[in-house]
Amino acid sequence: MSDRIDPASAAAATRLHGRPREQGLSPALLLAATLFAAGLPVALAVPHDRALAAEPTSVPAGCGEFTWNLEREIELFAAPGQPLAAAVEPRGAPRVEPNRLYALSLAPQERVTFAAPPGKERLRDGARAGLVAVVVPTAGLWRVTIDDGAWIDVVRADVVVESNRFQGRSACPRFRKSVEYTLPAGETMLIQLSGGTDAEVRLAVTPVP
Amino acid sequence: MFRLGRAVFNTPFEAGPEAPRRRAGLGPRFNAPSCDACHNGAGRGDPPRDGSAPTQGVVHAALSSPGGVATNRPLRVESVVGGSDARAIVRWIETIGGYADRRPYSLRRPELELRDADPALGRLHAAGLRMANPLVGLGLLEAVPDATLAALADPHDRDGDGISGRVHRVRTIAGRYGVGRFGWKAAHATLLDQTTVALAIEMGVASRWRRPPEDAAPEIDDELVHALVAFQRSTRLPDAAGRRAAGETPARPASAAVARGERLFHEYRCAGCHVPQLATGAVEDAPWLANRVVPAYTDLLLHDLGPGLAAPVGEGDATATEWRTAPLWGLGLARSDRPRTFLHDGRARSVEEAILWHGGEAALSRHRFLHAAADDRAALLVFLDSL
Repeated sequence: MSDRIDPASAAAATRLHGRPREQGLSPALLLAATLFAAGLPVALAVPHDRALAAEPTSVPAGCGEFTWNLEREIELFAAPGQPLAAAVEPRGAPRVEPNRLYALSLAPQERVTFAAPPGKERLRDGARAGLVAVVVPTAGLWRVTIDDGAWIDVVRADVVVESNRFQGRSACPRFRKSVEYTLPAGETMLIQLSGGTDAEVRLAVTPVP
Repeated sequence: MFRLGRAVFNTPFEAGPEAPRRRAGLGPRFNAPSCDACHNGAGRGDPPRDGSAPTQGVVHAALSSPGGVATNRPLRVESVVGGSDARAIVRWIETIGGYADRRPYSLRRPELELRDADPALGRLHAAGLRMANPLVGLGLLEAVPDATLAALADPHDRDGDGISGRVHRVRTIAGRYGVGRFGWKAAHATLLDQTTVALAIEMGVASRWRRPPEDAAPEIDDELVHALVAFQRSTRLPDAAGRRAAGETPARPASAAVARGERLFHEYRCAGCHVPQLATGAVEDAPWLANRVVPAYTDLLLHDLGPGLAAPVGEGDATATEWRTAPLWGLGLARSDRPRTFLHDGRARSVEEAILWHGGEAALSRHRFLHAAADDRAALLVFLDSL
């Protein structure tokens, strides 16, 4: 079925293979708003401030898409990670230390007994899973970051800790997702991974800066 | 089936000979590996920040082949091997305006930059952004009879109120014509249609009903597709909408602001398109959906919203400036990890900004909002947040 193409609309909305626009400064927006409020009619197109979009030269391509400050994670995930076999049951889960990168080997999910039902159920075909333990030294905001699409749960006293927020980007070669939690200090909790299909997943637990 | 469908919805599909059988079939070109990647938690997709690629939405492109045939289709920005259809970067362009009382507001619109387009696509004229729709009450929306929607339509504006909604008749998988109700331009009449198109185009997963251009054979079992549909049919309603659907009397009367806002909602003729309530009919294979109240605040019809919100090209019989009335139930839902954005491309950072973009048939409603007193505007927003 044919559809008419509106050249005017097309030209306004799309730049094909073009160079990026020059970007204005946010003070321009403030000036425009001030002028308008002062009674002077203002109707201008001001490119949005792109300061936040600029990538530091040390950030691998694709990792700049995250909107959080993940510099620490980018640095950690540059290494291969300390090999560690994740447990198939809560008892005996090996401990991971904050601010270290681990290369966890996971088991077929059907062999894993979880501390709590995974927060997001997926098809079990080919799924891998495992558990590790963590104790954070200070109460507050912490991140669990992995280089895979597996589902992450933090479990405290057999109850899944609700995450605050998360970020996931497939284009970053260092890691795939980072999930933030509010965690208590000095208490052993379990991190359980489920639903992914990679037998090895790199993981780090880091404080939110 | 619900639980199986939920699992399929959450599962990232994979490519290659080693992919587990029921998770196989991703690509070769795709936009996301799972339904959940864009419709995370059955919610609406988040638009990209300035200078970034969309990750929870789709780029719809206007193309013409070397023979001059014009088409409109989503671009696949990821690939398993080789190149994708194209890559897209979004830039946000902001403008300043003002209410009649001189309070300023800002509006933003996206400008897309396409790179590395596959020459085999033909000539790329323009592209627009469409974010993932929230998956709320889909079973109820599907169960509203076509005749109900047709009765609401007034394509020639015979009642002279400036609103001329029309049905979007679309061909279904079953080979019949039905009233489209899913998608930003109501391009699909049934959840099976919507789901199989999304699997084929957004994930490159071929089903018995639809296949992407590159796939010759089905890759997903019928059982999993039906489970996906069953899951979406059972997506829950927001609490407030659920209570209204159940005919429950509110435990407390609405606040004065909500009541005032509701009155203004009708006074400003918002309800001309955002019809407060529909009803389902008989549903043989899902009796729990039959004869239910649907407090969705939509007529599910196409309305012309003016050139400001125009897509680069239409879809099916829907023109570039026509959009399905978005359901407003659940508007007030918020998550601490997500900003709320609205309209098809996520340009509106608030409900207020979404209202200010309404043109065309909604121009009069927008005009009334622009010229309303500040506390009336605030009351309307409080009411909308209560839905």
